[in-house]
Amino acid sequence: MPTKKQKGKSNVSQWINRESPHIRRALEAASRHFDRNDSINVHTLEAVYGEESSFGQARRSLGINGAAGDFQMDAATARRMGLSTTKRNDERFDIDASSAAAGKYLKTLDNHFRRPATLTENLRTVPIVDRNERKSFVIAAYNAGDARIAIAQQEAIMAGRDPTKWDDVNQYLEKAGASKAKAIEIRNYVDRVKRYEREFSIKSPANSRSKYEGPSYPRGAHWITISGRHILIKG
Amino acid sequence: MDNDKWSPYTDKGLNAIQFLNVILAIFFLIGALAEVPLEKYGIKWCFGKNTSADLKQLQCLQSLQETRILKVSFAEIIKRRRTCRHCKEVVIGESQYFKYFKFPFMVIDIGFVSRGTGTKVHFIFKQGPPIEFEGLLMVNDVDTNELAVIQPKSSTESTANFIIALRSKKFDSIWNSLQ
Repeated sequence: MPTKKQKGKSNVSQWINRESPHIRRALEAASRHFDRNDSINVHTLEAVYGEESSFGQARRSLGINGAAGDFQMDAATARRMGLSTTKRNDERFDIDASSAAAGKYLKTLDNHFRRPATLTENLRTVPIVDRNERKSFVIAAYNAGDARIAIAQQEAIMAGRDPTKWDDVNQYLEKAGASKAKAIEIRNYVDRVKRYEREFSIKSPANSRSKYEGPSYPRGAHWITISGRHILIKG
Repeated sequence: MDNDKWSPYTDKGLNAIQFLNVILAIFFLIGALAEVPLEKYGIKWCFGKNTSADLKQLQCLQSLQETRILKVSFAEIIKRRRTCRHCKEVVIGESQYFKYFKFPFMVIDIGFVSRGTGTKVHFIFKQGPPIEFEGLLMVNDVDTNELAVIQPKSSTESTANFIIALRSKKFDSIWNSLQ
């Protein structure tokens, strides 16, 4: 869910103002899924959170295939990442649970571009050693699916370009089945998230090595959906 | 002579609606051409195609790796549940729907997810309520695809009718049986 950028002012400063200690702790805790060999860190997670739901402001909007919540995940993926997605308790709207799931999910995507992953018969990703390059592929896959990015890598190989360089591969998104508009969206998405991430790494107090103290609301609390509104039930 | 000149707006040429149809057809043609030919990457032609009752397409879908994974997973779940009925789910949704896994099933379309990672497999069972199910296959740590989630898709009357049509004798040879 792309956010509207204010003229001449970055969204990041506004988001940092919105980042309560609870949100920060949740994002820091989610980053425990990453290690120093990963291309992603707590600031990548902050940047994706900002881009997807504007730090929770747009989490109620429904994306493609029923994607919803803080990180705009579809129900099947969210369930795979350990979230409950029932009407009575949709954890995609719970920042603690959804950021943990998003962290796990980004880590999965990072693994798919760190070593060759067989996405289906005969379609494999091309591994990328350079962490900064890999980050672009991971972010693009979060937005457009790793299969589309793997196909673009194959197209780059066929054209004699480097399949491990995002600048080379992103030229082949249209050939990989993305419409012209979607290809532009993917390129812009990657650029924005990387820009936000750089800004977060300078301005954000979040620290991926800080100790997680658990959610600040009581145990047993859960989210329910009534007429499209998500309400936290405590106890 | 001028009256014989073709024009899309005269009754000798196409009328406005026909002209619009031609334009729409051109758009659809461009759309069809824009579809990625996945065969180029060694993927079978039926992968990523829209759901259809086309016999050839359905036969092709049953021969894909994803269908084999589904078949193996169903057999494993049945075996596991037989000895351990209340064990923790390995495939999310299995405890709710495993009662259908013993029935023959048919994959009706397969495609990549549009965000993130995974392959979505849509399938139906020969018996039980006419519901379409969705399976999410994901790459695991040892680089093989495995069934991760099963969930029913919201059903409409047309989906139910489509499933009932596929249960007819014409498609008998396509169903995958665990035996």
